[in-house]
Amino acid sequence: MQELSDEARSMLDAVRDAHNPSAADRRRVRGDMVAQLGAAAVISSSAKLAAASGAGSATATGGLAATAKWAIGLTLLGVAGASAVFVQRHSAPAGPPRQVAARAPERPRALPVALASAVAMPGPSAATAVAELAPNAKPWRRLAGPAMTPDQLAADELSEEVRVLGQARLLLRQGQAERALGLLDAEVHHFEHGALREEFLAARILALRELGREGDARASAAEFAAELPGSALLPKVIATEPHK
Amino acid sequence: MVTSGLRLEQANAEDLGACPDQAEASEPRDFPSVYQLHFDFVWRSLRRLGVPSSALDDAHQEVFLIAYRRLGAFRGDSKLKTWLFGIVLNVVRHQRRAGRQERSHDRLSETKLETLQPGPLESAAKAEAAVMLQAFLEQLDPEKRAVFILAELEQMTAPEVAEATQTNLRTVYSRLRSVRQEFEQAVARHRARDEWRSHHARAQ
Repeated sequence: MQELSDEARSMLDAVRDAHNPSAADRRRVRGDMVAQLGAAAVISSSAKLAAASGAGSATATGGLAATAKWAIGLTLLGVAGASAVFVQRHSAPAGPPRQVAARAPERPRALPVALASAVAMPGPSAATAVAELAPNAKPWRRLAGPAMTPDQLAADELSEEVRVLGQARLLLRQGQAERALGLLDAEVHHFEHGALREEFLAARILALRELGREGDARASAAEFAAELPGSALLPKVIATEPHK
Repeated sequence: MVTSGLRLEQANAEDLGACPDQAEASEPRDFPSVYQLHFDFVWRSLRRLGVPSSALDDAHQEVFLIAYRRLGAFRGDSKLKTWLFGIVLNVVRHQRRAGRQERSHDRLSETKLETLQPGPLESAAKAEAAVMLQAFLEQLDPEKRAVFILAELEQMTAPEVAEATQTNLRTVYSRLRSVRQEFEQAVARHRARDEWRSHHARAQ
């Protein structure tokens, strides 16, 4: 069969990605889908899937992070009805419900919030990992290795954030607030620009409250409110009482 | 990069009547993975099939809601990508029947507006090529368009294209031969236009 000429093929190669969605498209459409089916049905628990997808662009990973962070944060803080908050955060355009919304899924939805397992994923203690690294080294970058692509690195960063946050959550649930606070203090600066910074700060405030350091907790909550006035975690951060 | 030509030549005449490749055992089947892995593929397929931007979100969501409901019945006889494209085609046909598609020239204008706004690293030539491609896709009949998208842009093999479009392999080859000739002519017209513009730019 007659093949395309080199010129025609070069032109196709040059514009092959011209119809891909933008980062904003991904965020908006994924948010709508989460509103339709719930977070558990839509969000993969594997952050590394983003890197494996090939679509994986930093933007795609960013989209994953933007969606994932709310599931993680709400799971962390024990907020019920995570999907409802998703709807608020990723609100669909105003108007009548879409026709497709009325269709009931024939398949059962995935049971747990998918990211809950990722948050609680087993692994070496983050504190140990931090201690083994040189000062000022960002642990996830060191663990990532030099050969990773930016896409893989972004996915790996998110994975590392999820892991550390999960470790802190576990410590809090085990009543080891002091260790949780130590871990969060050691890590929060590494994740200063991370996808889960909000959740790190919120978890730190909870740890302070658990330790009875109410003054510090209030001050941190005030900083949180000033920095992130629109955060869905804010009411929980302000209202949460110690679990004791 | 493996070119579509090479891939298609692998499916030579002996492949006629052959089944498409079986889905790889490692291909994730859970919906979140399917959604994430094929998000972009569904999006760009809808765009290439002429769904206007104003209807893209709904069409994309409809495709995946159908996939969500039917995934349990997916037997793995084909690759998920070809299975999904079948759903995409059905959604696009449904949209057309429902009269939700905008008129052709409106869609083209919209595409021009979008693709003629290249990012900082994109050249004007690339943007013009994207517009040319969209215009070319718009004027194709739906059957040829689907074959061109899958074979030349998605680089699927001929058996995969046959599976995705629910046509036999001979028809796929026939349509591909025809659409390649049409694309060559479109490229030649595009080049001639460029040369004419360059000539006049130098003359001024």
